[in-house]
Amino acid sequence: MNSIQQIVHALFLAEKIDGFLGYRKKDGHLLPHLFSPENPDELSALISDDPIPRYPLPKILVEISRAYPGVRVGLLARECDQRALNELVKLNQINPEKTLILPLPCCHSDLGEPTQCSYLQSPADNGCRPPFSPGEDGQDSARVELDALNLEDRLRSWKDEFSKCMKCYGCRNVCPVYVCKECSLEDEELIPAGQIPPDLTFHLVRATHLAGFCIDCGLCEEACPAGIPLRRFYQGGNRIVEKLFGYKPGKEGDRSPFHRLGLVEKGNLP
Amino acid sequence: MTQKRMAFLKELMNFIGIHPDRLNVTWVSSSEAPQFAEAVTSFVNRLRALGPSPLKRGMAGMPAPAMVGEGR
Repeated sequence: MNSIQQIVHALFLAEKIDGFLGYRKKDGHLLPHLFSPENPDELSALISDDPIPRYPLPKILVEISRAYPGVRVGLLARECDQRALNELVKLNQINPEKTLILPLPCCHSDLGEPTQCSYLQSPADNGCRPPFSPGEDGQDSARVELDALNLEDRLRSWKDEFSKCMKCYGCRNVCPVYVCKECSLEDEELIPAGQIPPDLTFHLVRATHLAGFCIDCGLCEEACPAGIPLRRFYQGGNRIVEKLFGYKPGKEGDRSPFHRLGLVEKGNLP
Repeated sequence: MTQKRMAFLKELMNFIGIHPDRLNVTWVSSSEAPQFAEAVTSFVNRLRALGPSPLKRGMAGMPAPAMVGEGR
């Protein structure tokens, strides 16, 4: 057994957790899997070396805690997962006291020890890449170009991107902070069924609902079969929130300026 | 919350390329008819000056959306 497997095994033996969310190989695919103390032999399949796949484990955790209130689950968490967990705690979807995080190192950021993503401090240092092609100033060069356009050209540019949308809902479904029980994107009046590509409304609804909640994990962009630069799009919403309200999602404590009770129904927390 | 949202939405419109002046909020009580008329009139005038909406179907280079199976 390697180190992560040993840690989880020890947690099981000490009865600290009732299950562990990680990844295993199944039929040639690397997939999320809930390991349990009842099947300790499975642990040898727990993936702990590169490549470790990336799925929205925090979202799976929400599903599990809805189905089994009070269950104590440990999970492998990259920094983006940890940001998602922080947001889900604020949204009352996860009980932090029943959640045990096994941090998975990525790259360095200002949020903690080795981690990755757009929260990167110095991408060049450790071979990690930022989620965009940086210009000389380290900014997302495509975004800087976009900002420099006039309104008409900027709208055309986004419309071009969104004209590729086939409304698969992949961006929404993979999103770790999407935990709503009702969704505007399924409202027949707002988003007529069968219309492809959907109106800009579809994307603006997502941008609006994600601003102040999106933790910029980039899973939406990875999931998009049409290659729409969704990450840049939602980052736009977050930049506005940061500019207007000085708030950046993903940290513990402070809540989004758009947080309100009733936005998300309280999950089945014990 | 509305005030926060309006500030955000205007910025979002600008980000995506829609003139922020196309969005307006005015607080008017039910007893303030002249203020209401003035708010609507001035907003309409502003919209007229801005011209037709770029989101109008078929404009700005985007194909008009079609229902699936409409034979695009």
